[in-house]
Amino acid sequence: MTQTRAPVRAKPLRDSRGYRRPVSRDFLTLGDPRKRGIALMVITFLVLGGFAVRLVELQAVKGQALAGEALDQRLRTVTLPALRGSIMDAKGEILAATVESRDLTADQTMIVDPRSAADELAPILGVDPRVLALKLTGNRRFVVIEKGLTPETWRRIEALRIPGLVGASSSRRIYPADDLAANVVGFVGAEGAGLEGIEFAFDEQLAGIEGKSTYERGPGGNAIPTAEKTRVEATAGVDITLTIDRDIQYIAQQVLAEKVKSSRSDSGTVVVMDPRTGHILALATEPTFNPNEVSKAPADQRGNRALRDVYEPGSTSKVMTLAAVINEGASNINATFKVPGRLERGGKFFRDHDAPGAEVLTLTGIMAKSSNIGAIMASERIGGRVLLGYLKKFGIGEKTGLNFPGEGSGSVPSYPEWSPTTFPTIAFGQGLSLNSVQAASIFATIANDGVRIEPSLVGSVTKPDGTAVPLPAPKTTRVVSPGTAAQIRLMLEAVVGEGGTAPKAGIRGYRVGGKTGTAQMFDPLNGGYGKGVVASFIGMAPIDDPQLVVAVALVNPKKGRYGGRLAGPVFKRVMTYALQARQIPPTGTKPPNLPLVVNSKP
Amino acid sequence: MTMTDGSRTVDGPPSSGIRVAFNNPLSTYYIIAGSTLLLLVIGVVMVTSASSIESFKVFGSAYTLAQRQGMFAVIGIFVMFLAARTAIQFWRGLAWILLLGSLALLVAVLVIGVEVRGQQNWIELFGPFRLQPSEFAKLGIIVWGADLLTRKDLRIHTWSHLLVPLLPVSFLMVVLVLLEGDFGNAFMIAVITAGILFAAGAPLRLFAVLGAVGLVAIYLLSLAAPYRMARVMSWMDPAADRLGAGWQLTQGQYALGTGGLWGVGLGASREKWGALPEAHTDFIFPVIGEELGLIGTFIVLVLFGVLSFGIFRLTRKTKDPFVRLASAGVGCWIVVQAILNIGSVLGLLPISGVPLPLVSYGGSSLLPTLAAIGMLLAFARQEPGARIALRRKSTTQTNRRR
Repeated sequence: MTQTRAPVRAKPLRDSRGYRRPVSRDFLTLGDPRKRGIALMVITFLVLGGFAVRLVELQAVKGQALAGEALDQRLRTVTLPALRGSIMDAKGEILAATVESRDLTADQTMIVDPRSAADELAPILGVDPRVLALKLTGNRRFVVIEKGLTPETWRRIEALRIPGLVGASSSRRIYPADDLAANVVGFVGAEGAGLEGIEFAFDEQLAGIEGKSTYERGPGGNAIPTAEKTRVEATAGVDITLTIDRDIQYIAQQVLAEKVKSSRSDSGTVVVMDPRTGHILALATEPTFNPNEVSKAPADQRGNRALRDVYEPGSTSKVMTLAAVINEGASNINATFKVPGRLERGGKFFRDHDAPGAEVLTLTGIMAKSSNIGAIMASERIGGRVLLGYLKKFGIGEKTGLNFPGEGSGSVPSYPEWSPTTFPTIAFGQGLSLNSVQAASIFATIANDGVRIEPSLVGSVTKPDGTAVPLPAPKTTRVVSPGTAAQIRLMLEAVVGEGGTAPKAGIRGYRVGGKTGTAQMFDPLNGGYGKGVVASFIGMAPIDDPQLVVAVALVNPKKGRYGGRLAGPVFKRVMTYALQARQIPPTGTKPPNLPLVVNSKP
Repeated sequence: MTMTDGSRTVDGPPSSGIRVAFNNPLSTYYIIAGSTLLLLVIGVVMVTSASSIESFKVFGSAYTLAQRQGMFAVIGIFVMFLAARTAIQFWRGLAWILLLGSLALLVAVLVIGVEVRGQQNWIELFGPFRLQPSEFAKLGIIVWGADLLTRKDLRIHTWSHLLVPLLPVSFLMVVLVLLEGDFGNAFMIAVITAGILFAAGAPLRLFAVLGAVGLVAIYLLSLAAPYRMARVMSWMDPAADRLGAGWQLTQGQYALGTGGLWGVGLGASREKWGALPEAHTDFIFPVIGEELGLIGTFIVLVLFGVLSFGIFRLTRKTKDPFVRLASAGVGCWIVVQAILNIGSVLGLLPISGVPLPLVSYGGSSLLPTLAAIGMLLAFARQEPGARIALRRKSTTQTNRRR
């Protein structure tokens, strides 16, 4: 109708209802509806076409990039913790293990009645209900109440059915034996990484390999089930079986603790070794700590003193000196030395502490009576340079290879640095330093017919699937000949015999040998020797077929001073127990009763 | 099938299938009904997918919203085919009732309405159901406006009759809807009014003036409401505030990009897991793009194109100005609203907060839209050729049955 009407202009017209069309002055020419329709259609198609182009841009051209950004936004990677391996003693007793635990957290907004919730919860946690009520009150959505609860404790809390309490799965390192071998096993920090001991030395292997779970999630945190997921399972850490024998370790710690206390020493160590393998069967240090309550002990007590602390060995070092002399063929077990009351070397006079005056001592006598002058005279037969070579072969100045944190390697001054008094001093064990394990290793070398085997603490390492991880064979070094070693052992036996410095170290029924040491402590503050000593005794049994070496050292005792009297009895008790524990029978042979003094002048 | 069957009975043996189908007087009816039903099916399926997470979170069942939308669709189809069977005079008779009813509801909602997300444009009905009067108002202004201009007949050749009372009533309606805070539907009512005037042949200079007035109004409204300003600003530079105002737009484009050419598969949208707000309502188009890819979004664009073409055919074939104006109004409504919705998702237009017609979740939007399309179907059935074709068809069917 409009189509026909629109062009009409001149003719007067009435519409269907009789209205007259407007006069030409006011007449409004309207657009052609057909053209208007086409215009709308064209505009619509142009816009939709434009949208189609934009869709191609967003979905095809930029699609990959946008999808990538979107993926970054959704992708979450969660590490799957690897179960840390256990540490066991030689018999498989657990010393350190990782167990399932729960971290108790609270959503304060969900807890309706904090006070009654606290009253119910407090007895289970063993805390003050009022303090607990404060922790449960407020508007925070996430509050840690207590970490590392046992599954049993969590089950009891769960049974209370208090809404808002959450037990997040976690794990906890436990040390069932408390302070037993604590300084060997070490401990882990809050993040689960080993900070001391075996836990540190083997941290990477114990920790295993973390797994990884990658998934897409919405902002609410839900994993999107239709999206792709990848999951790499964690590999549990290895189990480590130590060479430590829990029973011997226990006795060693007990006896040592008593003696450190009664002698009012600063500290003490006991090392028990199997000389034929280099295995450390016990490694006690005092004071010690409980790895389950690490923070209660000062940091100083958490390390391993037997490896960390070095001291000047004193007379125990004469074993090396005399072994070197015999091995070089410069002397032998029965050779005699005219030992004066005092000896001047490099402008300094050396004395024997209990010598009445000049006397003639056998080489055995020099060892048994621990004559410094005798040791100097014997060592002068081979010279300082040769002696230094033997000291290094015995392992002085070199780390044990146990890879403990803060391990001390000890030291001996290099030959060019020697002063005129260095050589005589080193001959009787001052002016060089070593740690307790190194000291034990010297005696183990003599016990093992002159072959030094690098000490070890780890017996075996087992993967989670039960297969053993091969361990590198311990380094072995021939230091002295078997004959030399045998002579030294007989001389050591004389030490605990009549006229020796340590008659209290003898064990009834067994042939035992050892050496006392009472070394002055170097005072780094004053740059000289102070009043303090390290009283030590290192010995072995049975002397004609040594299977055990026990090294005892007491640092700075205030009650008593001499190695024979202080450390000797500790040696005796630990060795006696260890011989029985290892079921080592007496050899049944008789000691040769070697002469110590040829004639003495009053 | 039915189309070719029908053509044979009307025109005799077909020369070319497509041409015959195209010239079939009933094809307008089928084009509109077919594209509408396809969009509706896509809508229900996509609402089912896109609403599942939100639905589970709110109702504990992933299908509560989907079931409601399914129910709205069933009721809507019923309403549509019922409307398709009415006479044109029925709608003209309803014009004033629809207008006054719409205005009454728009006033009522200001008094008893409930506020949802800052917009007080819902009237609580029984149970979980709510009515949004501004959606019905669109149908009201179309039917009343088309009837008004048709009855003016020759008098619309004067400015005063052309614009009064259509513009003042439309302005009143726009103001009422704006008072509810529903900027999107206020804009739609203005656009529909302009569409009717355009179809009526109003001089182009009128639209220049109306457009200028509209732009100033939009600017002033943006100044009045900070969130609107933020929407405009983030439209201009979505990257500027990616985590704030630009978040929804960015997530929508992430969804489209993730979908790529072929989509991640029906139901597998990642963005619907909480990242994309309004995934089942205003931002359902990106979910379609994510799950069904470029293919899916193209199909939706094409279906809106087909629907608008069907309506265009309706305006071309009719000789009744009411049919032409009402069809143009409904066409403007559906097409412009679809363009506003998709354009904002694509970052080409600012976000105006209107749902995608026939596809987005919501009965208040779906039912008036389907009623309006039902009215268009009634127009299509009453095209001169269609009437004959329908009569022949029913006789052949009854003959066949015998």
